[in-house]
Amino acid sequence: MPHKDLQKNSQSLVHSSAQPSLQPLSQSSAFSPALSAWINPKYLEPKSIAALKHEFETGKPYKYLEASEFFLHHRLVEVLKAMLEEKFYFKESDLFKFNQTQDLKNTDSKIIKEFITFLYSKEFIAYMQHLTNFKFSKTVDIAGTLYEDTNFLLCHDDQLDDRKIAFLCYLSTVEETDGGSLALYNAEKTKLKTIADDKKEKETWMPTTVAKRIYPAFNKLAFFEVSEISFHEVEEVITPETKRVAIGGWFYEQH
Amino acid sequence: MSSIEINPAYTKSPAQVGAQIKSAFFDNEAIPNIKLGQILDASSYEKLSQTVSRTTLKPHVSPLEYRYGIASLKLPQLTKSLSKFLKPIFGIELKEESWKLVSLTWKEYSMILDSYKSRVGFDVIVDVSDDFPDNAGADIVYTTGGEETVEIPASSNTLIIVKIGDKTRSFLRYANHYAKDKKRNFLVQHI
Repeated sequence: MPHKDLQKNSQSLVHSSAQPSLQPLSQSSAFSPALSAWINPKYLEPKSIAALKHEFETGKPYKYLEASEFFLHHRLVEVLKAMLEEKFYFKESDLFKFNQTQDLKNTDSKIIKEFITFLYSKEFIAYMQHLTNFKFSKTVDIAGTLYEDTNFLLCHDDQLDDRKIAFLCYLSTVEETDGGSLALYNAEKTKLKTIADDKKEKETWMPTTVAKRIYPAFNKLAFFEVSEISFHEVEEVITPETKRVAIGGWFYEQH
Repeated sequence: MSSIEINPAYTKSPAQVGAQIKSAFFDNEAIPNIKLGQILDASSYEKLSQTVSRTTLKPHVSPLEYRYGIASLKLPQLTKSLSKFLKPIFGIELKEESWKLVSLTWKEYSMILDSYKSRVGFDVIVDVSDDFPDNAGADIVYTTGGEETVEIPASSNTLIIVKIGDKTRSFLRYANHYAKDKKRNFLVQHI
C-alpha cells in the first residue's frame, strides 16, 4: 500500500494549458465524444444536466453538487488501481495532516495521465462551465490525496488566487462511522477586530456550524463554488484500516 | 487551596539546580525552552489536579482559528511557590490572577493566527494532563516559521517554560479520536 512509503514533501500540482471552449452545451448533440469516453452516459442527457445545474445553483449552505457513479465505472477502477501504486507524501501543519501525491502530470501511469488530461480538457471544462454558469481560465490544478487514521483538514475557505470551483473525485468508499466526510459550514457576517490592530473593525464572514456532510464513495464527483463563504473541512478519519483516496483540485475564474 | 510545594529535588541545592536549568534552557537558541517533570510534590499535584478537574470550562470556539475549553483561575499558592522557584533563575514573577486553564479533548485545536501580534516574553505552563494518551495529539507547538519547532506533548505534573521571541508563533495540534474522553489540561500565563 502507498502509505508505507510516505515521506515529507511539499505540495505539487498540475497546471494545464488547455483552452476551454465557451460554447453553451444545451443539447446532447453538442457534446463531444471525448466526454462519453469518461462520463457516465446518464450525466450527458439534457434532463440530467438541467437537474444538476439546478442542484448546484440551489445548493445550501453554498453552491455545491455531488454526483454518484459520475464516471464510467470500469475506467475509474483502473484509475484507483493505478493511484494505489502512486507514492504519497506525508504533510502536516496546524491546519492539516494527510498524504498527497507529487505532481500527477509526471506520473508514469498511462491511465492516470489519461484521466487528468480529460479533467483539464477543453471539453470537460466546457461541461463544467455549463453546469456552473462560471467561466474558467485554462489553469486547472490536480493532485491525489490519501487520508488515513487521524488525518484531517480543518476549516478553511479555499480562497487563493482566482480559484472558482474546488472539485473532488472520490476513489474509495468511506462509511459514516469511519469519519472522513467533507463538511460544509454555515456562515454568518461578524464584526471582527483584528488582534494586530484593535482599532480597526471590519465585517467578515465566519463559519458557524456544519450544514452538510458529503460522504466519500467510489466514483462520486463533488464540487463547490469557492467564495468568501465556502468554509469546509475534511473531518478526521477515525478507523485504523480506512484509506480515503481522492483526486481533486480547482478550476480558476476567467477574467 | 492549601499550600503547594515544589518537589524538594528542585529546591535542595538551588544555585546548582538553577544553573543546570538555565544552561539546558538555552540549548535551543531559536526557541529557548525547558520541561521539568515531577515539578510539584505528589500531594500538591493531586490538590492542583483536583482543582483543575472541578473547574467549569467555557467553550472557546471560532472554527477558523480555535476550538477548546477555557477558564480563568486564581491560584495564589501555586503562584507563590513557582515565583519563588523561578525568580532567581529567570527573573520572572508570576501573577496569581493571570492563570488561564486550557483544556483540549477530541476534535479540539488552535491554529497559528496571521493577525496575532507577537508578545515577546515567557510562556509559563503547568501541565495538568492526567492519563492523556501519547498518540492523541494535542501537543503545544512553538515555531519560528522556519526549521525550528518545539513540540510539547502532554505530561502530567510538568513545568514548561518557553522564551517567546518576536518570530515565535504557537498552535495546539488537533486532538484526535484516541483522546476519547481524556483531556489535555494545562495552566498557562504569559510574562
